[in-house]
Amino acid sequence: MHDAIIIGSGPSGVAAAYKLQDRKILLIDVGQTSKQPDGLTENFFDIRKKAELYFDSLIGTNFESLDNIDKKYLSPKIKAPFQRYVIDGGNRFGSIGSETFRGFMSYAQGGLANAWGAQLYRFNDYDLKEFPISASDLEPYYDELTKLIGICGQDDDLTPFYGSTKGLLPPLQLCTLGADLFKKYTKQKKYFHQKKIYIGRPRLGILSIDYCNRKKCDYSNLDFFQPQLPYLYTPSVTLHELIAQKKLNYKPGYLVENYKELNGKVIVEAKNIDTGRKEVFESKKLILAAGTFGTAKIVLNSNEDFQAKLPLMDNALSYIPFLNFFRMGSRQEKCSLYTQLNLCYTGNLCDELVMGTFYAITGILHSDILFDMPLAVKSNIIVSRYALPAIIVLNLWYPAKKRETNYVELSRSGNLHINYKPEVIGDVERYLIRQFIKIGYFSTPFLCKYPMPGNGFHYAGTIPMRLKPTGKYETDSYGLLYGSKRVHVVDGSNFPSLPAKNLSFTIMANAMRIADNIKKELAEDA
Amino acid sequence: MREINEKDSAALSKIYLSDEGSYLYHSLFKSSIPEALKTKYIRAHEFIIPSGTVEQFKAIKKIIKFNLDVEAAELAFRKKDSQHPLLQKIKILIYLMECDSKYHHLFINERASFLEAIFALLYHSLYTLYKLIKGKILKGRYNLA
Repeated sequence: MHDAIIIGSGPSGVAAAYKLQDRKILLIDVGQTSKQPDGLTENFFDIRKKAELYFDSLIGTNFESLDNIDKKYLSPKIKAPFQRYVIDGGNRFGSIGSETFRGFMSYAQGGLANAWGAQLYRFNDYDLKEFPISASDLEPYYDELTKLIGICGQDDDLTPFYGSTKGLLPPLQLCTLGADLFKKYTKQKKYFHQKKIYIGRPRLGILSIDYCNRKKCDYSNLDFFQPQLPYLYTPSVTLHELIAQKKLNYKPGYLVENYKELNGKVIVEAKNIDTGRKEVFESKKLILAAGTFGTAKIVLNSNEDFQAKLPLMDNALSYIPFLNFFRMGSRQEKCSLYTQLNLCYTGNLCDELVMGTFYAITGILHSDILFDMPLAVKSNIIVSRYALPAIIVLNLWYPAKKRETNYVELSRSGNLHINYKPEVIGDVERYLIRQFIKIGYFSTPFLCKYPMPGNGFHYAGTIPMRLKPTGKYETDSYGLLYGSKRVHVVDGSNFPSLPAKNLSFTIMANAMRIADNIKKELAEDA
Repeated sequence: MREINEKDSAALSKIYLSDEGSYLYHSLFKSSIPEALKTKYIRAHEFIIPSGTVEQFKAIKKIIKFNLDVEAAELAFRKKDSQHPLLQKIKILIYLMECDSKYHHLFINERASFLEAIFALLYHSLYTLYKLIKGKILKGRYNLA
């Protein structure tokens, strides 16, 4: 019998497996993988010059990159043909239905994190105010992860929000526009601070120097088209290391459907996705790390509960394009990275911190955005050629709170259904647009985009952690499901609140903390 | 009269898409569509299915039949419906053009040219205004949905 079974290979599953690597662990996963696109070895800028040779990678044999024309919106991070594996499988393994929410479940090896921007932020005590734990409980795990992943960043105006800079690698190079914005902000810092706007470098799991046998970022700008870039950390990196070192028994090709606790053990039932045959696995502990939706589905299914409405939180998001008028007509930059700078807004237009990231947009197809411009078709093409090198896009994230209107439930067909009332946002966008005129960055509210909830992939809160859990869909501070002795929830499901900061780093640190406690319990049992 | 079977219907649809692609391209860029691009345009419709009302599709047919200005008509439609099938079809064409090195110069600016950019912005703002007025007139005169 295994000491523990982990379900899912996303950030939480891999972080838990990393901490339990000296125990007898089985990780069960659907584990879809991507093929590597042929010959995408050059810079995106050069590839575009012979684009027809890379048609299958840029557009796809099934014209995947054009899907936003006639289908529901997909972020450029998962739209490209070779990135699609991250969200594929919904029809086969269970999907999410909703009129008001665009929810994604990942059946990929490494989970939704295969499409993440690798932004990794520590939660402070304010962020954790509704959690039954404090920042000091997570600090040692944040430090350990910083060393494991290789996170770049620096001590700047955002340090009060992002916490310790211990162990950070140097920051990445900025593109010309990012550097220009940062320089102008630095000159006008006093003004921006009065307006409660702070700008600094992001903390990214992207290597700025060679680190632990991984090569540093080459600024090839292929992040939207090539999966598994060596310089960008994803949980798959650690997963592959654990498998190679034989510290983990990894079982891909299985979809876990339910579990039950019986006679001092947990019995997990999983379906072999090739044969359809059901198989049973046993362990002393079960660690649910299938992602917020995956875990909710397994727990509800195990309870055969088609009535319960589990709470759901998701960070509302928006995009503001800023034009630096005086950089119009600049040469399109060859070497770049999409993530440039971060912004924190603490003013009174929102109850809590609003966080943002400035993105360079030279790594996507112009067609993805040129129809957002208000000109005639041909004019959009020509003007965007001159304007896009002068445009930087600010992506804002809002904190999410538990609301009665926002919930997920399991239908008898086995699919999840979500009800979600979108947040009304727009004031902060208008405010920021006014402030950035001061440094020559122009925008207008009608160019702002507000994607449907769910498109940001920050899902949390279905089975929240409580100091004293009271319902069967709550856990204690160690993720132990109420009424259970052996089932732990370690992914975003157990977040009782969701600040605007990207949640992935905290999911990983929290999973390690819980895994550490499970390790202690297993030792005591033995 | 012979019944049209599925195979005939597919062939007819290809002929229609070929004419449609050729007309859209010619109207937008004042030249003939390269064969390779036309083939991709037809194939793309196997995966991307523009949707709209019967009237909207009739409007596209009317635009082709009467040799109307595609850019002007699209601009007039866009104000009312940003998902008009004409725009969806133009998007297919533009995506395919962007992934063809022949059109690289149309999309990527390789030399710094601030004045050129400002001139382009001013010219195309006026050009858009002209096309918008023309589009509204066409829409009214030909009763385009």
